[in-house]
Amino acid sequence: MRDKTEIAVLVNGMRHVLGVTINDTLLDVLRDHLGLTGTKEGCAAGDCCACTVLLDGRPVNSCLVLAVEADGVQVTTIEGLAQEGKLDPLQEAFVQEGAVQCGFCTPGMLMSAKGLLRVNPKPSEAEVRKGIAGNLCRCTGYVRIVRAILRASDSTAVCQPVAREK
Amino acid sequence: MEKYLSFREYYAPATQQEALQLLLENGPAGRLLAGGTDLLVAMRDKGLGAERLISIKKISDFGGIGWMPDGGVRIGATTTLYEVEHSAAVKRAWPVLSQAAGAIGSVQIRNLGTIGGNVANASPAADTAPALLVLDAEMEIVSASGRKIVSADRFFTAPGKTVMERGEILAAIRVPPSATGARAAYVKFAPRQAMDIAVVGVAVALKLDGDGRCREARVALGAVGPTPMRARGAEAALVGEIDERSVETAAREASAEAKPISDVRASGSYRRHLVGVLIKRAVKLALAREHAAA
Repeated sequence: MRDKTEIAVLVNGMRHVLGVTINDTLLDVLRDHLGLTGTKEGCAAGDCCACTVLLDGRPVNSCLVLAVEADGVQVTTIEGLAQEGKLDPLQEAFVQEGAVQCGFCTPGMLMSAKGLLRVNPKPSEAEVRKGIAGNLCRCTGYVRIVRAILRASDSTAVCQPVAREK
Repeated sequence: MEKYLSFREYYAPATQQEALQLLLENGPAGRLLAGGTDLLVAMRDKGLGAERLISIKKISDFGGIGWMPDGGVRIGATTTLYEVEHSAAVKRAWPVLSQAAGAIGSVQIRNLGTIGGNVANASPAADTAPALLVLDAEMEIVSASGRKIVSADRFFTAPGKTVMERGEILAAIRVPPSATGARAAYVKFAPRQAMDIAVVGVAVALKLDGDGRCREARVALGAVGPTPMRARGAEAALVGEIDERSVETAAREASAEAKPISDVRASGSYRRHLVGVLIKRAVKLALAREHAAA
């Protein structure tokens, strides 16, 4: 058994003091220590962004953050988006637009979108696409995701119309 | 998925002295950790053995963006790529650097990865390198024997190698003041618009006089040689009147100066061709930039 280091993190508004090993990532801590399994591990190499969480408000790959380095930070995960049982407008828009298919990328996608709208409440379509450029989705083709993010934002931009699905 | 990080010790020194001490004590087993976006992946996936990690993120002198007395800017090595991309000062006076930092990875990666890491890892394709080369940037390197300054031009020596020796840490990058009439741009070619490594990257900086003639030019190339490089023949060709012919000559010179390899991303001859194409695009983009002095 490796030595544990104590860290204090604020996860979705709740303070946790946890014993972690130096090899644990923030993703390990969220999933295995706190049971917050909404955050997914895809590639574990920073390429798919399925593990995106907000660290002090900014989207990061939680698979690339050492837990010991998360001491003292604020983390928001997909579980922290809905407030008092009410879905976040982004989640609502994903449902409305049919932006969820298999669902594996969805938590990371939503956290990237949340991070984007936090600093840019009125993004253009291009800015939305840049904001989620790292998040891989193998089902949707992204169009409905982009539409959902624009719908949830204060933006007046609309996603370019697409041919109707047959 | 068994992708366990197997290092045995982790340090997060608060001062430069401690970090240098740890680096000397641990020898080759000790690796500096900043953003971790390259190092942790290399350890997990590419079998890079590092017994001890020395995080330098808590050292305040290695972080942040600050003005220098001469009107230049000092960017601490652990400043994230996102901070460089969005810094008001960088965007105003050195937009080419903001642009190059923003061309890297995803926003998630840019929120973790650092400019010092992008530079010190010395990838020939590092996006910030051509921008720093055309801005005449300097690297501030600290060691037990003090602080030294090395120009970006002399910093890179081989793929993954720089002039830095064991026991030295890249503390900051200094960018000199933006001269009157300075315009610069970075153009990257990659099959994908994001999350991709440059097949070729080209940065151009032009100093124009009052009537639009070019007093001085800088051209730098990425991913077409063992290190990011200046293309001095192309620079000479751009001095004077900038017109179709001089840009054509610059493109030809730069293509000839490039020393590209053929690899999975592109053949050497395609890279050479791209250099010429991108020089033209970069000059056009640089000329279109409004000048804003620091």
